[in-house]
Amino acid sequence: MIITIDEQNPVPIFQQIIRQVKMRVASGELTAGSPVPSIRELAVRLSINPNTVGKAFRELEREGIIVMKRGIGAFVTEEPPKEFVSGFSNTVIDNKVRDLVKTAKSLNVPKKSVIEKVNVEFDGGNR
Amino acid sequence: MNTQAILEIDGLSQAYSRNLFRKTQVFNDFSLSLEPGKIYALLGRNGAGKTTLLNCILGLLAYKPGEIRFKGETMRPGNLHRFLQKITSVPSPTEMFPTVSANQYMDFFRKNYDNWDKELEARIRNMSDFDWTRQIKALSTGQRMQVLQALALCPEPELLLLDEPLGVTDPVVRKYFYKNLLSVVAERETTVIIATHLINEIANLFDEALFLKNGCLIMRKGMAEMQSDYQKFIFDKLPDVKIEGEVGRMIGDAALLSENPEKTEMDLQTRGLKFKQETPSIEDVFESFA
Repeated sequence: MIITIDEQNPVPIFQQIIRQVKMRVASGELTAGSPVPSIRELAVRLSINPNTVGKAFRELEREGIIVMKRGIGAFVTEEPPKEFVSGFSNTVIDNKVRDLVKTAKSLNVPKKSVIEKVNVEFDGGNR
Repeated sequence: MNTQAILEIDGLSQAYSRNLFRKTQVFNDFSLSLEPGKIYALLGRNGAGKTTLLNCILGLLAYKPGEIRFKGETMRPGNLHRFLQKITSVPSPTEMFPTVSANQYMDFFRKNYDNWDKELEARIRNMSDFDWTRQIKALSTGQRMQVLQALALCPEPELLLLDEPLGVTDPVVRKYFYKNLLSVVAERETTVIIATHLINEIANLFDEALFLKNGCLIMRKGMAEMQSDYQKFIFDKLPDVKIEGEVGRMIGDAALLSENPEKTEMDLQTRGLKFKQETPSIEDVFESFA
C-alpha cells in the first residue's frame, strides 16, 4: 500500500494518513482482512515520527476500520462499518464539490459551464 | 504503559566564568521532565543554552544547584558511567582523534558498551561509501558524522542526544540518518533530543518542541498544537501598531503570529487593513518567539 504525505498541506500528518487508509478501504483497494504496513515500516518510509503513525492507527482502530494485533501487525477489519464506506465517500465528494464551486465563483465561471465540464469529464472517464 | 519520566531536570543552575570576577548565568532554576519514547526538538537561537543543557545531561558540565534524574535515579559524577551506558550523543566531529581509524573507533565503543546492535552497524556501513580502515583525519566531515552516528546509535541507548547532528552532511546521508534513527526509535522506544536549526527538516519527526530562550523554556508544544493554537496573518505591509492577539512578527514575510485569530481578525477589520490567513509552519512559530 502506498501512502504519501504532503508536507505543504496544513492538514496534520496523522490525519493525512487516516484519510488515505480510509480512501483505500472505501475504494475497495484494501479488502477486509488485508494487512496494513506496520507503524515502524510506515514511519521509516515516510520519515515521520512513529508516534504520529501510531496516533493515526489508534484512531482508525477506534473507528473500527483496522484492528491491531500485537506483535503481528495491523489489518483491515473483517467487516468495516457500512455507514463508514458510504459516509466517507460522500464527505470527500462534498468537499471537492465545495472547493470546485468556490473556485468557479471566484473566477466568475458560470454554473452551467461547470456542470458541462463535469459531464464531459464523467463521460470521458468511461472510454 | 510506562509513564515514569525518563529524564527529570530539577532546579538546574549553570554559569560559566567569563573571567576571574565575572560569570555568565546560562540557567537559573531550570526544570524539565521528558517522557520515554518521544522525540523532542530542542530549539532556540544561537546562545539560548541548547548545547549547555545537553552537556549538563551528559555530565560534561558541572551545575550547582540542581539535580538531573535518569529514570528516577539522581545522576552524580560518581555514578555517571552507569548512566552513560544508556545515554549516548553525537558530538561535534572536530573532537575525534585524528590518527585513530573508523574501525578502531567502532571496536573500542563496541567493547565498552553492554549492548551493541550488529545489524544496525552493518546497515550503516553498507550505506556509507568510504573505507572504514582509514584514519579519521583522512575522512571528510560528513564521513566522520556517519561514524559518530554509528557510535551513538549502535549501543542501543535509551536516551539519545543529538546536537546539530547533520549540519554539514549531504542530503543522502541525512535521509539515511533519519531513517536509521526512526527505525531504532520505533523498535526500542528510544527517547531523543535533537537540537537543530534545520527546523523544517525535523517538522514531521518530533513529538514536542522545546523552545529555549535565554536559558528559559518559553514554550513546549507539539506540532499539531502549534498549528491549531496559532494563526499566521500576512500583509502587504506590516501594521505599525501592536494588533490584538499578536504574539510575534515575521519581519521578512510581513506577517504576524496570533494566539487569538478571532480577536486579531476583528481588530484588523476595524483598522481597515487587508490580510490573508494561513496555518503557520514551525519556522514561522520559531521566528515569532525567538
